Amino acid sequence: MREREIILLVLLILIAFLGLYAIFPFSQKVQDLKKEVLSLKQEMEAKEKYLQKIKEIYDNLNKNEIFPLIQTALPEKPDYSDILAFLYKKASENGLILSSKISFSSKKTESLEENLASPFSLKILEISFSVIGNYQNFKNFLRELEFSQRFFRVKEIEWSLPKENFEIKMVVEAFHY
Amino acid sequence: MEEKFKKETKTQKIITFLFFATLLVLIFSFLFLFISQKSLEKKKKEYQEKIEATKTKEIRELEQKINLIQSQLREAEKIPKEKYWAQEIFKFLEENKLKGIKFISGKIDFEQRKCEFSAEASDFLSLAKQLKVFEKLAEIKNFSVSEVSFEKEGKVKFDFSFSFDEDLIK
Repeated sequence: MREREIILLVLLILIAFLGLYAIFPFSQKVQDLKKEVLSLKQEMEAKEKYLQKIKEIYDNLNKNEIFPLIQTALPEKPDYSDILAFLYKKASENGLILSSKISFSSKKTESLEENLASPFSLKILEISFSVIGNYQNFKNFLRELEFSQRFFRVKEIEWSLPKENFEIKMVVEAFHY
Repeated sequence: MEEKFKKETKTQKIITFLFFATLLVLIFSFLFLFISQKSLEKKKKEYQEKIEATKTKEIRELEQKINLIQSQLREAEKIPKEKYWAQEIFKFLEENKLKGIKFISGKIDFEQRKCEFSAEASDFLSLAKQLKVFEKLAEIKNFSVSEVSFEKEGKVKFDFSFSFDEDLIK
């Protein structure tokens, strides 16, 4: 009978060891999962906080009074229609006739460093057109063009004076993202 | 003998009890761990989906918008510093044009800061005076006359060019 007890005792110890041996990695796995879930929870909370923060930043930027001015000066899109409307309006207001042909060509800004550093590189839209009228009216038109909210940079001006009215060819740059 | 048998049975009973108790503990532990694992895996999946699907997309969109505004602000700060006024060159020409001189045609390149003009003087003396004025101006550089032609009625046509400093149009 003593032998049977010993066998039972050995079996008991063996099962306990085997059980612990099998449970240990399983428990380890569950512990790792717990850590992962906790870290994911923290990540989600951090993201929620970050989202809240950048929402506030974005709202504050939107509320800034200078923001609409910047949006007009350097818009997200070329806004061809706005440019055409502006040129036509200012030419007519100043007694000038806008040429029938207006050409646009796009190019990127020259600074390669800036283009690489920022994903939002400023693009240049070159506008070639001509106006017909007198010198004083042209000066007023040029003044309004240079003082406009949309940022224009005059690149080239060429003119010739036949008799009365003179024709002025202009190459102007506008900027957008 | 009977007492010994009874004692042995009791020990056996204890060992058997311990055996089953251990087995039960092990089974419950496995069960508990298995349920915990399943529940944690479910939570993990939920968090991952939430992070990926909603927040990341929203954050990326907002970050892009903010980056764009920041870039616009940066450029808007640079613009006034780099801004030049094309109208200033016309003021300069008006101030320095003498009587009897008429500009017929011209080309101004603001990027290269170069001007080319074709003008007409009422007489030779006016031309000479005008050229003297341009030659003396500190704001212009590389002043050169390329062609002078005498017309009828004493008029003189002349072509000239010069380059100018950025300060002139600032």
